[in-house]
Amino acid sequence: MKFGAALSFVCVGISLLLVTKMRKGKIVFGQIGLPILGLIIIMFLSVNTISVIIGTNISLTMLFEDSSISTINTISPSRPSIGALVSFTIIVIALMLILVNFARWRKLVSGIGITVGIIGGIALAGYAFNLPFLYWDFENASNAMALHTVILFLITGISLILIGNDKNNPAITGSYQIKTRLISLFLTISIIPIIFLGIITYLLIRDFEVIRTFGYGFAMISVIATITTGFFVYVITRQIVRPITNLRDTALAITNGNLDVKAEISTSDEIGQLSKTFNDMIDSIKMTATLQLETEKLKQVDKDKEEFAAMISHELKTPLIPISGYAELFLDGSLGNITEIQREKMQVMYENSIRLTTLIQDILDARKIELKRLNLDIQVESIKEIAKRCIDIFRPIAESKGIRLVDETQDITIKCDPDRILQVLNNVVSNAMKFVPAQDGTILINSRNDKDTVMISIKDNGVGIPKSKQEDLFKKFYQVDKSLTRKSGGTGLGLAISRGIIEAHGGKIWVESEENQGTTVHFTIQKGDGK
Amino acid sequence: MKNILIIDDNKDITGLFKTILESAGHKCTAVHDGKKGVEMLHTKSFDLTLLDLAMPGMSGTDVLDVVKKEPNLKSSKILIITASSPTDAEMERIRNTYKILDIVKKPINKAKLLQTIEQY
Repeated sequence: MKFGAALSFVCVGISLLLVTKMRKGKIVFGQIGLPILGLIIIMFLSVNTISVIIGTNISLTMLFEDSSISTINTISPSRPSIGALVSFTIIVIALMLILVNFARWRKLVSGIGITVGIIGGIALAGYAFNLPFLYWDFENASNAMALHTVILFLITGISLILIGNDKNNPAITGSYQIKTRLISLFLTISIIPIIFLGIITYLLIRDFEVIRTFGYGFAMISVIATITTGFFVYVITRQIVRPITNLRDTALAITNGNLDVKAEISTSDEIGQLSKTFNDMIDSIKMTATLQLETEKLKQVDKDKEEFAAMISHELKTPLIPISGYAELFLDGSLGNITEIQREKMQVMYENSIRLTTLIQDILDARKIELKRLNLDIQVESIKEIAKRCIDIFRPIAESKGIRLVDETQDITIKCDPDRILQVLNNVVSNAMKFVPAQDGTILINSRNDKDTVMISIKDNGVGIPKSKQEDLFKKFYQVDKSLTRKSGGTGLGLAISRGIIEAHGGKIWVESEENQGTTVHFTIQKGDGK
Repeated sequence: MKNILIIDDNKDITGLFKTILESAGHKCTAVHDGKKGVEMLHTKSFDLTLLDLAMPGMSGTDVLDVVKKEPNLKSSKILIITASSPTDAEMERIRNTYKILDIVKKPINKAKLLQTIEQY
């Protein structure tokens, strides 16, 4: 074997080793094969080379000979050619640079790749035009191998240029892995048959003339194989690696939050379809992101409303406390005697402050019900107790108007928030108070014990409500007779809130009425565990 | 007759409560921020403390935090009277975290105030 060829093989072997290992990240199992192959080539050729240089016959070529020195001597050791030495040196420097810091020396390495490629090209031209001074040696059968070496140099150079010129983000591990793996694979495939064909021919024939003739044949095969594999590398790179790289970059952009990117669709095959699907996915993500943003905004609006409601609650209710409080103290004489006219006007002030307080409370309650955030402090309480509290509240007004308030409830316990149920009773009774005839009005509260629930009914002998309007009663701000609003007050929220409260308890509320026959409001509440 | 401390930033409200409670024969002291409230709790002993939640500076819950930590204040009987509408979770949290008598929501009239005071 020629010294130059051996030296070149060493270089190519190291190049192979390093091209595959160049990204010093993880080495997957499939990547280990090529470095090992490279190492074997290096060892094989190094031993050979050293033996040639120091002139001993421990060369591995011995294996192919009859153990006679004279035979070995027919394969004349030659001086290393200048081209081989230069390329060897350059490659060693380049590899050291790669080892030190690939990314930093990327451009330099690509330059070295070009240089090596050109040197290989010059040598190839020497073979092609039979100009021996352009290549290292030309005297024996390893011409084919030498030629092949040159071609390998070319490919190595081109691959280095490709890697060096890759404009993709160098920060991404694996950017060049597919490309370098393909190149390494094709290099290996083209080396193996040549080596084995050369060895077998040499062993079988041992005629240098024949080997030389065959050598050109190998060279032809090698050239064809290399061109074909080169073409495949190009096609595969173009058809698969580039779209995949493009997809990867698009995915990376999305990961970084940029949703305005699109994957390039360059083919209509599976990868093209993948890119298209990927683009559809981006659209879908975009839509989700938009929806999420909208939801966030709505949540914020809701939160603002919540805070606003809390603010109203506190800021509006607080000033009313001293107003109604002092009015009450004036009225009950705690602050000294006042005249009758003063008392009358103070009563107006007091009632209006209470009405305003109720209104604010009703608006807040209506809102809580709407948002299903009504606070219920569930206890077990006798319905009779709650009815008694309600009647106590209304008795003074009822007496002054000549209205009879009758409590016929049984002493049954219910599971409820007593304050809220009292609020329902108050709402219904205060409505009834407005519609029963003065001096002859009757409002009756009673209860009926069912299996799991208690039905509480508030019956009056008022004007009644036409059927067509009964369902609307529970709507917010609804008033059967608008003219009554000014006369009797009320916000139109009472029954809507009552329904919300009863429904929050898991019960039902409804109305039974006929015009001029009075009205009955019924509601059901779950029974307490006791009695 | 009870010795009552009122901690509320609104002077009109403390004035009203004081008038009502004193007319019913109770002895009343009013302070208008949480810090003074804590000082007062340290210096005197009260039968009952009415505490507002929303106050600038040291809030009602801040006062409760201090009371919880200091051993000689632990026995204070505190009743919360608030005008804001705390949520269920918030009320539950306050009830679970601190030893308080009750949470009463404003508006509160004379009868209800006196009845509540009688209760404790």
